[in-house]
Amino acid sequence: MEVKGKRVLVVGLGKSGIASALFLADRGARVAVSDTKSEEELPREIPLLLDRGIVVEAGYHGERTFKEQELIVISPGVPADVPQLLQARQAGIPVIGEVELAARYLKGKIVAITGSNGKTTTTTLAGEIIAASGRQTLVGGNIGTPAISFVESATDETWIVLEVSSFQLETIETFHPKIAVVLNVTPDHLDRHHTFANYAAAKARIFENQASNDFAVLNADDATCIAMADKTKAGVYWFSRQREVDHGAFVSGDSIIWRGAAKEQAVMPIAEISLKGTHNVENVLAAVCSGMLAGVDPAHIRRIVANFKAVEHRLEYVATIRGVQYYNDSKATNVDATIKALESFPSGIHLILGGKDKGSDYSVLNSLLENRVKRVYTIGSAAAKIESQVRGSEVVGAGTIDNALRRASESATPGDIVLLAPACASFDQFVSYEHRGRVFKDLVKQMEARELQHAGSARAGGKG
Amino acid sequence: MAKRVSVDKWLFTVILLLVFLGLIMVFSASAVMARERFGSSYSFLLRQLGWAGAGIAAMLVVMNIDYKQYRRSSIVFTFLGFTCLLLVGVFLFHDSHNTHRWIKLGPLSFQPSELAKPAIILYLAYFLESRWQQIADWKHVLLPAAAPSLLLAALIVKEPDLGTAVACMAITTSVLYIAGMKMRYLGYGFLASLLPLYFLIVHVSYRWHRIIAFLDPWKDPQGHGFHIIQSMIAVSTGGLMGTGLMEGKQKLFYLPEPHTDFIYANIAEELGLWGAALVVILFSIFLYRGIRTALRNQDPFARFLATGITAMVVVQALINMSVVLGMMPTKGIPLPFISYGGSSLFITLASVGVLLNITQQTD
Repeated sequence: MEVKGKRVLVVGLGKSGIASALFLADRGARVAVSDTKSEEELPREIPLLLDRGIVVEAGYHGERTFKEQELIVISPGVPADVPQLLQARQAGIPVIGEVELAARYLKGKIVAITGSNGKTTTTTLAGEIIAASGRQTLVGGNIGTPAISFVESATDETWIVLEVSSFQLETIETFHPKIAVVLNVTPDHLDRHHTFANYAAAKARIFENQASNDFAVLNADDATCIAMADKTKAGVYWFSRQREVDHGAFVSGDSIIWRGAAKEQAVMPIAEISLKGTHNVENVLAAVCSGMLAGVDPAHIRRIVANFKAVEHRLEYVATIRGVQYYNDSKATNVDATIKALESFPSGIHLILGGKDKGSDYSVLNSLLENRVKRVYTIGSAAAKIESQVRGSEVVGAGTIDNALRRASESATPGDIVLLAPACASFDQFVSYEHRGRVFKDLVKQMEARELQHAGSARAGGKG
Repeated sequence: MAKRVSVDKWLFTVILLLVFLGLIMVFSASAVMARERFGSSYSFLLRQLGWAGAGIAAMLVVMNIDYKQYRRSSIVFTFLGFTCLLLVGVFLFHDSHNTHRWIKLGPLSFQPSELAKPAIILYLAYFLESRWQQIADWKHVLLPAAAPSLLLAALIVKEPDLGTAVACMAITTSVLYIAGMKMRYLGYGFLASLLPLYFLIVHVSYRWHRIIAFLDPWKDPQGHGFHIIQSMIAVSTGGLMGTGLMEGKQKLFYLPEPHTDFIYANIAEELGLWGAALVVILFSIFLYRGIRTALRNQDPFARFLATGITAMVVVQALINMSVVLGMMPTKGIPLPFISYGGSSLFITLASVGVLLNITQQTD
């Protein structure tokens, strides 16, 4: 695609928006960016873009800004039904996402991983597995480095492992993964996709441009995934925690088995997996599928999986203080992720819940709360809604994360778990879920330091 | 620092060609008259050469100043205020040809109305940059955007110089159009201007005579029709190939102002249809490259500046050539880059320097 001299508008100044704008400017496009955030909210971004001769519109989307463009590139955070975008589409202006922009330039083989939960873990793990085979591997996408930033370094031999969200898939045209993985499809982001059918359809677009020599990797334990198998031309491989599959990876007894086109082989014992939680077994299975399909030696896969620790903010162990374990699952920005987090611990959970509501139904948590959770501490703007829907466990309105943590640590007894798995977006009180997770971890570390100091001085006092 | 691309070579070349052609034609048109008046054939040429040199120097300097420097209110309003002051100031000077168009400072003289055009363009670009999206809000955007143009145009009409006032409004309209003004407001503006135009034309006898002369020049061939008839004779004498440089007869005291407002008639006579068409082609390229620069730029401020400057040159060229060809009643508007006249040439060249700078920006 030739963009030299073209007028291109980039909508949304997230990581991928900035990367896209700079990429386009480097290729000689005349670039403008538009974001509804005010200038004060973008203190670092705006000067960076202005320095490169990019025109910045901040605080609103100008209706006319969208009219006079030859191409519009939108960031994942931008709803596709913004009126200005609808008008632009009507006027015949091509509107694509950052992933699609990258797809037009990227060389190499793409492994694309989507799903409602587990994308980040699976993407990171699959990336490490493929890298272990010695091939040049780039890992990014929705998390970390935007796909567009790989264009410079990728060659025909490169493997690019990308986490892609349903939002990104909504705006693809030619994006063509060699291996496309759908982990699971559960209600999430209904505030933007409006219906579950729309959401599942967006996920299924990952197969859209695949051919018969490509691979689709699907979760055999997920009904929506099973229904997707008909929609792809690619060779379908399954993964399952619960049953044997025709082709793919599954758990049999206490081992992970790979059943390829030609032969069947054991990859590794389940017990060697260092990630916690049953959902992580599914993520490992999906990553094993990707690795095997990419031609990685099973011995490498076994070694990587055995050494692979949790991804930051994804059910991440932080510390143990007075026998209470603290876990950071700030990336649980929806109810389903919170369910998976709760399923990882049998009982004694003190759950910090809340943030910015995404139109979720929190009552689905109730049976788990009743069985596994001692107390719920609500934070953020969703607190009132959560308090009205949640039953089966005592609910404490804590307001802020430090208050919630203090109250939880006061009432927790040894053997309990304090878990941040808020089921909500973070934007009411934090910049991002990463920010929320880091604040949580810092607070826990401070508590730990105080505790150690206290214990130290108590010992000193005892001696004297 | 913004990455820079080279200046638009088409625009740059066209401008230099027009200036060069202008110098040749000014000499050809004025040599005999200059010898009569000053005893040297080169008198007008040398003065014009001086202004062209200064103008091109100014253009090269301005071309290397980042246009974003001008988007400061202090610059915009100082420029606008200064221009207003000069336009009021001209009435204190003695009139020339019964008009108050000139300010004379020793040997130098210039028309403040020349400054009005860039001042209006700069103000429009500055004012509309942050408000153009709301241009449908006529009370808070359209009206305040057009107000200084109306004020300056009124002062220019008072000089009296209706042609330049009309050119100012045409430039304003072009910028407002690019900023997204609805066509119906253009209609309202046109309707609203009919009444003042009626009084300014029908009730001012020399203008009314020009209109009559424009409609039927041969009714009064030695009086009001003389100018148009002589111009048409020049054009028709030229034919396809022209009489050749310096060979024209009409400039020999038949055609008034052969080196200034009617220089295009002289071009048509001496260089024929080919020469006349060349000028049209050069201005067409200027228009195309100027509008292209404006439309491809993402920065609204740059878009409006580029549009205004392009319109400034093209509108004047269009009016001037139309007058010479008898397609419009006589107006005192020079042919940009070509007509003899220092302040016009200098200010036009400095203004296109801004346009050339905009072509260098990657955004």
